[in-house]
Amino acid sequence: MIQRRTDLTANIISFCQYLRTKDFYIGLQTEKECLTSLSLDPGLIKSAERFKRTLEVCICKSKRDLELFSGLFDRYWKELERAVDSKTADEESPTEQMKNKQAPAINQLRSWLLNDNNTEEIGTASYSSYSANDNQLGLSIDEKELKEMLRFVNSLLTQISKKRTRRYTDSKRKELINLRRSIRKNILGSDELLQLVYKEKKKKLKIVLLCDVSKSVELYSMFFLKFMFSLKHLSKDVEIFSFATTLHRLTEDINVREVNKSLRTISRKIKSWSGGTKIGESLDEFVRVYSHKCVNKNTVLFIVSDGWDTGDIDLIDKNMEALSQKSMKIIWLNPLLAHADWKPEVSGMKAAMPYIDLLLPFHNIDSLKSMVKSM
Amino acid sequence: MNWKNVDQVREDLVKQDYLSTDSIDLAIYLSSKLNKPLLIEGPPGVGKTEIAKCLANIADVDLIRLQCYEGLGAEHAIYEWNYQSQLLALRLMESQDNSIEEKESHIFSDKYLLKRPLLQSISSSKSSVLLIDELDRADEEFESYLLEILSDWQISVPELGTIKAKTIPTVIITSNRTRDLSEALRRRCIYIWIDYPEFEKELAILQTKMPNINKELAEQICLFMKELRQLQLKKSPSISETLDWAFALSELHFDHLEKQIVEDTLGIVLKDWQDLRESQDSLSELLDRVGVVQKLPS
Repeated sequence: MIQRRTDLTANIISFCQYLRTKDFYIGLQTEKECLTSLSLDPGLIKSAERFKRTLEVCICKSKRDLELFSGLFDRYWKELERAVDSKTADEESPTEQMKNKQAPAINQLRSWLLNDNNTEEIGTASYSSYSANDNQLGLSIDEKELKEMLRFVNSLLTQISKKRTRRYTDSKRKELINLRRSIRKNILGSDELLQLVYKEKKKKLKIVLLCDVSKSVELYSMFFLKFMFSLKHLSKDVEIFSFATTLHRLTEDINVREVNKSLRTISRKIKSWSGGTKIGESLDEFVRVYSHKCVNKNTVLFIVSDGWDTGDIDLIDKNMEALSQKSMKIIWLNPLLAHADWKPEVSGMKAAMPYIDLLLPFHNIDSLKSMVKSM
Repeated sequence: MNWKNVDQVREDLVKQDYLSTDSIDLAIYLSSKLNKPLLIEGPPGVGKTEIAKCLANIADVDLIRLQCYEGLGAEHAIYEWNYQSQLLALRLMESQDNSIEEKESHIFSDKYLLKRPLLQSISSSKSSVLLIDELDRADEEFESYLLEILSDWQISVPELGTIKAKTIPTVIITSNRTRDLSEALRRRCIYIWIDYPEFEKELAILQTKMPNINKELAEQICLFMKELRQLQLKKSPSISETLDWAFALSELHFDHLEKQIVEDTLGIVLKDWQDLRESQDSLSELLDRVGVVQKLPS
């Protein structure tokens, strides 16, 4: 298959290069290992299936890599085969002119390998109205407002972490001796401290934000966005997700230093922005896919939503229960709570109520201020 | 392990009653040839730990196991000074005229060093299989300790100096993915994902582990398990549960499944009360799909 006119080493290196553009972590060591592995047993290179598996074992370092690998492998080698064929025709051509005519085929392969957006977009333009440079949703954030928000979110974070007043906790790790407790433990024995008790610093608080971006909260979406940016900027241990009909992880996409770029990415990523709401389904996806990584007993979970839901209510109940067991605290921020006569009558809100530790209004800077106070 | 090709790995594993896949064989072969740890991820009970046991049996070496848990530190994984013995030794030396240096070198000698699994595996003169089980339960700091050891094969003990590996052990790391392991660690390993097996594979495993099992019963159990895994359960049953259930049913001399039997023994398969309740609600439907003839209540 690969023993055509091109060198195997070069092909494997460019395959690795291609995979890097698809977010695979491949270092020089991995490339070297691919080549070494193939030379270990001649059987590995003779069979196409084994060749693929060898590269898979050497390159894939996570389940996500494994899931993507097969498709990318087939796509790459198919594309390479086509390019090699065109190159063959190229070289067989007697005139230089013909060679020049064929050159774009190789260039196309190169740009495809390096994931050049221009060529990718040619393919996608026919079915998608979104392009890489457009901010279709017209999202924008005023810098002054963002700065103000940053100030309040900072006090909010300080307020939350103040809750943990004890600086140390007992530890299994034998690093820091808790002298006071060690003396107490040995007080009835000899004058030697034979039994030692250890302590460690309390673990840092993690924050997870699940933010509703559906039509029903469209009015507040800019405010929510500012909150997302501020949280991400001020805390390292934060995970941000948006949901409407589907869940999206935005942690990597939000960067205060590149607000416009981030907004463009978000705009492109979330197709269901200002669409319907399926809180239950979104929570279900969050619990299944992400909760094991980012929710534990040190996690404060913020859910920003008005509770309007068109999905399965049982799923809200089931997943809120799971999250309340896993997390330290669930804080539900509801923009509609500002209305004096508000009652949790919408089905989504009703289902979630038993599992919420704190329900607070969240619609403008003032509500954020009062939130800091109430914490 | 001196395998000449991948097929030999498969043959050796089969001798240990372990039915693997092409990816598993290849990963074991390459990790042995490239001298890299094998990182195995997958749901609990699919045979991750079993691989380490099989490899230890194949090579006829000791299996050194480090079970990870939250708060696991160097003193439980690498080494620890026997503090109480050191203290007593100092007391005993009080009447002797030893200098401080002599006392120090005495209490910080090998005699008072408690070797934990990692140090034990690299300081042993005989090769071994080191199983670092459920690494995802340990903290991220522990992963950093591990990086140092896995890349340089040496451990620094401040009072003794650097201890270099006499033999490089075969390292198997398992994880149930309760949290993501660091990229740095993944890079240093050969990775495999073991999932729940397909029907045919599970049947073959069952028949290998229990050669005397009734064929109809084995097929029904595997089909039932397959259907059960389609349900959205909190904890899907794994191969170890299949084997336990098959063993229990054989011991009770059943040769096929019946609704009453399944109801009575479902606790062997499902370990969560909510899962039990949900599956019991849909039990008739499940058994229909498996092809179990259900008696009508008289």
